[in-house]
Amino acid sequence: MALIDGMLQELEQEAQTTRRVLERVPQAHLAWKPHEKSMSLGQLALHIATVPGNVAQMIAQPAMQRPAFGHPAATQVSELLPALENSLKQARAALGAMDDTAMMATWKVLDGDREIMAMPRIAALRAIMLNHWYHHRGQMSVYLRQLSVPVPSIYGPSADENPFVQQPPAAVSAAAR
Amino acid sequence: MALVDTLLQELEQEAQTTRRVLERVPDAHLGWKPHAKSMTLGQLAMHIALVPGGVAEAAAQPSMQRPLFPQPSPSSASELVPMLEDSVKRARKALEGLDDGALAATWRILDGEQEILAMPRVAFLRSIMLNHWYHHRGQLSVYLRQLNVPVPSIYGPSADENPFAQPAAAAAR
Repeated sequence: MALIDGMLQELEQEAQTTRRVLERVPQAHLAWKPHEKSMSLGQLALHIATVPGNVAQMIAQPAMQRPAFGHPAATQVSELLPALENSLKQARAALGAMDDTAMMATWKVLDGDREIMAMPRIAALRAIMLNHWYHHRGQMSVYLRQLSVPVPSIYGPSADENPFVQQPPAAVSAAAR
Repeated sequence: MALVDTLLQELEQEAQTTRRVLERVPDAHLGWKPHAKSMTLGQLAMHIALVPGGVAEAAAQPSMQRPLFPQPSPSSASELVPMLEDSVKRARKALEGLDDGALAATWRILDGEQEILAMPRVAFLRSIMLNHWYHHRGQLSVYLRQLNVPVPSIYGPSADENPFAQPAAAAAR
């Protein structure tokens, strides 16, 4: 199995969870933020929806310029799932054919000509496409909780949903695969 | 490189970030929670500190019983970083001996004798020791923000700290 296959498999599996979270984002509260320095719910949700494709496309290149971190907000919650699907499609297209040599090759972030970060492409994908994605989805679970939206199970039980108790054993085994 | 070395390397690297986050947990607000149904700050921070060791030790066994998810809180925020150090040390010890065969082998969660979850050991470690750890650290960053604690850089700039803006030598690698 190529190195990228393990990552794409993880991406698909975690995307199922991300879908469950994004579909609960309440239209009425897209502008809500827990603190004045925080991203709004609409910014955070759109960021989460677009991470896979954006990051995969950046990392498929030899290097990228220092990102500006603009954070557009979703204006309609109905944008979110299609944005995620499109983003996953972009990630698959950018990464699907990547061989192990390309995965181990150094990828850089530059500021003009100055190198500000350099790491193997596989480490960048792991940290920024995947781990950073889970980080923000975790943040959004707090937003949803504070907005009194029932929080879905993410890695285990939430205060509202417990996959270990509610689902029949067959469904849990199938999901665990 | 053995499969487990990749996991251990990532664990060490992410633990540095986790340390930066845990050391900012304010002692005065350990009982604070953003919502009645949420974990308190103390519970969440202690959970994060204990995840690596607790999960790695469970994963090193052939199976585990359905967890009860107790959520203890520390009596002082100063316990958190030492707790994390100990937890990372225990994780290293539990995982170091696992070869690729052991990582690919099926690991189970049981309820009595009934199997409620089965997956390759490496998938459990990836999902619960690592990804689930980042998930909760992300939550903690929202708690810290609301408590007006400056949030450290985690994967990129926070509203308070931007590693990309620092001098090249310090920011690179």
